[in-house]
Amino acid sequence: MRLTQYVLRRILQLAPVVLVVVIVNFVLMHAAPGDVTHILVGENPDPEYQALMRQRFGLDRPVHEQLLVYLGRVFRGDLGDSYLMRRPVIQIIAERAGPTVILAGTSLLIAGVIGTLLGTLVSIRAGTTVDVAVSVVAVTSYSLPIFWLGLMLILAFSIYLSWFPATGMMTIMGPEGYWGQLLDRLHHLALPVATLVIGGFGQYLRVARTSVLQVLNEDFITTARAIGFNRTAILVRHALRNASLPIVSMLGLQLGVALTGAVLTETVFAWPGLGRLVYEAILGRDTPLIMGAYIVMSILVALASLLTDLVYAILDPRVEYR
Amino acid sequence: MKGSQSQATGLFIFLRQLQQYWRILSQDKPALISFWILVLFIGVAVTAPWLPLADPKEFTMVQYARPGTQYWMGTDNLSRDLFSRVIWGGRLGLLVAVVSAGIASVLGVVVGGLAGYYGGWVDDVLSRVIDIFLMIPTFFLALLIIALFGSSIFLIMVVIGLTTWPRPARIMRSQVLTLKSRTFVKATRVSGASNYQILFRHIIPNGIPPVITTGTLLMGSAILIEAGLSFLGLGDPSTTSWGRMIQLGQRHIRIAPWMSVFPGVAMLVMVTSFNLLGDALNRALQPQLQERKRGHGWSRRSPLKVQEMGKLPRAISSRVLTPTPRPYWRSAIFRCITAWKTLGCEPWTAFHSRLKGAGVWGWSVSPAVARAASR
Repeated sequence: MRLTQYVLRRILQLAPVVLVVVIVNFVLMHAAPGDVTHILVGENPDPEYQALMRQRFGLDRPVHEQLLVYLGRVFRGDLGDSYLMRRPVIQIIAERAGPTVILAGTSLLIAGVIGTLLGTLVSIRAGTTVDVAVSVVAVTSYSLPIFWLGLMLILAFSIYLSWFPATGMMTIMGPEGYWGQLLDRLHHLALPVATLVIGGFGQYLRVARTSVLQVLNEDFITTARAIGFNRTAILVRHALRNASLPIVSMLGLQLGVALTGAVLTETVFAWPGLGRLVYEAILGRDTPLIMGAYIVMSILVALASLLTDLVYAILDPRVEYR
Repeated sequence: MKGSQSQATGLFIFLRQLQQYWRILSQDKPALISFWILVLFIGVAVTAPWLPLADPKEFTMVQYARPGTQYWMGTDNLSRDLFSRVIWGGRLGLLVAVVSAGIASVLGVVVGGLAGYYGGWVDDVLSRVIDIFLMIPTFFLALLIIALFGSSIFLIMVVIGLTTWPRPARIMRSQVLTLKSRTFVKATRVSGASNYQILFRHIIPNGIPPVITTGTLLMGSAILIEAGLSFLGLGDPSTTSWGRMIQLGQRHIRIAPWMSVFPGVAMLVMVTSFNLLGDALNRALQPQLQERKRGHGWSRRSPLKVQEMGKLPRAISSRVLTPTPRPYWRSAIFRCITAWKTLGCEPWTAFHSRLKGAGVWGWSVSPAVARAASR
């Protein structure tokens, strides 16, 4: 079947991305100032001991061999050990991925729904004052420095109003029982999600507005209106459905943005996810951890774009499988 | 003499394009407002050293002063005047915006131009590279590089430039693809121009406007990336940057919220202005994206207007897309001069061919000139 072939080809196209990410990592590692062995053996080492360490970590081999060894290790899932925690990087990342997925996923969905709805509503009134105002709001949304927005929300809702907790994922010694804990977590989730939603809905609004507007100018909408369908039916059944493709592809693109935003948001809210981990790694100059997180995030983003393309292909029979 | 002539033509095109941009801007209220805001920001930022401001690094000996008449935005934990710090932060933000967007645009234009112009395997390879770099999360790459190589403001600007180039590259490539089959390119080729000259003197100058608008958008994102890096503690410690001010403000948010509020507001206004301006220019340059000025007039009960029934989308778009140049005496003279300067033919030849009623206007002139001259 052609679809299967298309899927396979897209997966094959993913490989160079991962390869480039890993190679970039390797090059950066080698170009970075300072000799790696200095960390291991100290500033003024015994040359013999230094040579021994070089040999032990394979640093005396030619660069291309080192690259191959590195590639092999990465593809086996070995991203090295963290300097700080003295554990395999991949293990640490796996532990911290959950909260990030919850945070980024929830906010991505909410932002997508809000943005799409608003964009659709606004598209009917294209050119009016309402439209201009909403468009400016949308641009403001993605012009917001997300960490600052988080800080302002903390200032307003947890310092002045004390409605929501400012940091963390749950209360220590908090409520007992399944429902109590769930509520507690949702309570903690509110502000970070609000931050990411406010900073993310603008893009969806824009895309939804433009693509619905394009569909609204098509002949079949005119026909539908001439037949006399009511507005909601036309908007939802004909316009939004046909305009949904760019919105879906936006969802995939935004995952990368959401992950980036998550680093900053998680830092502000002390949310124990991947982003916070990256921040801690930066503070502790924990290079293997930063690099591991970078590789994992790049792969995640690439996978998301692959997934988007697949959804795209399934949703729209007009897509050419190239 | 030939060099100075083509420079004069370039300046002419540039001025005409500026005029065109201004015409577009003056019709778009949000864009116009953001334009003036940016002018204000840039003016203040450039003249900051000569303005009657407190030194941003000087201690006033009043810690945590509230915003008021003496300190407009209050003072910070080290008793430095926040108003002056916000302005100096804007200076840095603008520098970062211009330099990194400049690097990204130049790199993008060259790569995209080469890919589009040469086609074949060059295009295949370069397009793949562009695609791959589009997929890699930009902010993380910048973060990684800065974390490894240390944070100096110079490195930050270069890294932001080097990680955001694929967008302009993609746009330039598609521009070149459409431009290279145009008549004026063929004319320059026939008159013996080299590949280099055709690409860099004729195709790229004509394809540059969308890259400029992308550059405007890139400026906004460059400011955000720099601020984000600074907020994570990767900023250049010797500079006054908005991101670092907010990072500092976070620690004192309970005592002195103004320390983080004002830099953020300033950044928000500046980035929003860049984005609104870029959007407006983008809309203006791509008429096919431009929707009808009026709304659809859909109230719940309004019937379809009669005149809407017969309108075919294609008819609308084709009318918008190809404005026919008006025969206009002054523009005829312009065309002769530009034909003379860009193509190297004698001015009267160009003029004469017009008089003879050749199908095209005189010589086929590069469209940017033609567009400018026909106004």
